[in-house]
Amino acid sequence: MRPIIPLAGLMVWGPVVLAQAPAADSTRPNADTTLARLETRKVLRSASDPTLSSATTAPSTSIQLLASSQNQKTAQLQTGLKPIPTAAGVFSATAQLSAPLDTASSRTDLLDLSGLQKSATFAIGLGLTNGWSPRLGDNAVSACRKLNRAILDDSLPVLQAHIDAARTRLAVADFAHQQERATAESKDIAATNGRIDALKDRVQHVECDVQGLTALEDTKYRAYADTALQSFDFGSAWLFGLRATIGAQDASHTDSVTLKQVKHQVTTYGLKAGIGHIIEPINTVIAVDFVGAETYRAAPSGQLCTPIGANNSLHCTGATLAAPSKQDHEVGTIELRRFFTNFAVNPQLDYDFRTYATVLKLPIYIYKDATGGFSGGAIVAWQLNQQHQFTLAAFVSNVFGLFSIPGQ
Amino acid sequence: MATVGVTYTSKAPAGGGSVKKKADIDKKSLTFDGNGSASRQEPKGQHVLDWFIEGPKGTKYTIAITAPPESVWSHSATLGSDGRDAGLKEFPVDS
Repeated sequence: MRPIIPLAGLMVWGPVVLAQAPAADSTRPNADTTLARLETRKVLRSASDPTLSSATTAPSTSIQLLASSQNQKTAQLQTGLKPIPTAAGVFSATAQLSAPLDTASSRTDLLDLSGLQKSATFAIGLGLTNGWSPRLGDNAVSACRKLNRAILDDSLPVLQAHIDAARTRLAVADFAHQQERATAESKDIAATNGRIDALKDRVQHVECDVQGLTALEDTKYRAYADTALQSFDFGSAWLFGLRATIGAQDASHTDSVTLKQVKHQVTTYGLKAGIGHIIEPINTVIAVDFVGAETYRAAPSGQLCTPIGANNSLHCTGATLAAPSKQDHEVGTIELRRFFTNFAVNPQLDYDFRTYATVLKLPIYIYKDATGGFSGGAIVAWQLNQQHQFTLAAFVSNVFGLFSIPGQ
Repeated sequence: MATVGVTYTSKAPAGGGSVKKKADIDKKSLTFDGNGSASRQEPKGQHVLDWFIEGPKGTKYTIAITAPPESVWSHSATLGSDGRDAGLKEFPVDS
């Protein structure tokens, strides 16, 4: 006889491991459907920000390359620490390295109004996921009752056969000189009867718990267990994020008097804060970010002309003739992340309170699965005012490890 | 009508932080005293006790129905790495 699953909530569900496979029943919940829903929830929790741009991101270890039609290319590496559950919520931390793969231009990067991605940056992010408004769904009792009834129906014949076999052994075997064995058989019959009574009681006076239901997920009762699990709603989560960034930006200009190249290395700073809310029934995150940043903007290039020879000829070349100028940014973002089975959309609206630039971005990305692997997609960005610029970007990333947020 | 008594106690591991607990009878919250005890008058019939708990890994908790006699029951568990558990128990009140 196989051992009882060693979980308090499952002690009387132990006999399920002895049961025969039940006949197909079209009224039973569809395991594939419920599992897909649970899988989507994992994605929602774990891969919530594949573009690595939001403060309300999940800790992961990933690398990403991005190239846009504005000739801007960046590489990002992110690593996360394992989340720590506390009474205040689940804390997480991430570190990000980002580097431009080409020379910073004076143009506004529509994908990054803060300007920070023109510099090589190091960022530390802290996140808190908190949700505590638990409630029991209306169908919780009936879902648990169905599960317990299915277990009882499957287990009864097996347990009854076990009792009959023990009774037969007691009746036909000569236990006259094996009193201990006879006692053991009698105890086994009593214990099995007790398990039958407990199973019946669980149908009459329903009892189930999340730990027991979770442990049942790998059995044929998984579909019932998933349905019952979804009745225990721990509440929708709020996401809080804070990210501090420091960067180094290289620039150079041509001194118009000496005609020598002057190199600059300047330090950039940024602080981003965000808050998001998970709307679980529709697999959607709504989030608001605000970033304050101090960066430098390269001066526009002009024509530098020098006389050649004595016939008033000029030799002209394109050159940046002024030093980069400091530029402060205050950018607010509102975004939606809507997740489907293997792809997601993430419309974002950015507004720069200093330059009044308004940019609408629409990242569309695909992901391989909930736990990591390849992810990639495209971003369309359009400046709604001023110069009405348009950018198309593509990014690929490989997620080496995602830390799911416990209990979410 | 009968008095339904419920106790809900927990013990977090040393240095593990605080524990949040919630229990309802028929979806109406119970208010527990400092000893983790609560009681309420409930009419004859079937009722449902449900509970939620959130805390650090290793937290041990026990929830029990201590009255009426026909419904005495208890459940104990230890929180795993997800730091959460919940459950429900249907119970009768006979008089």
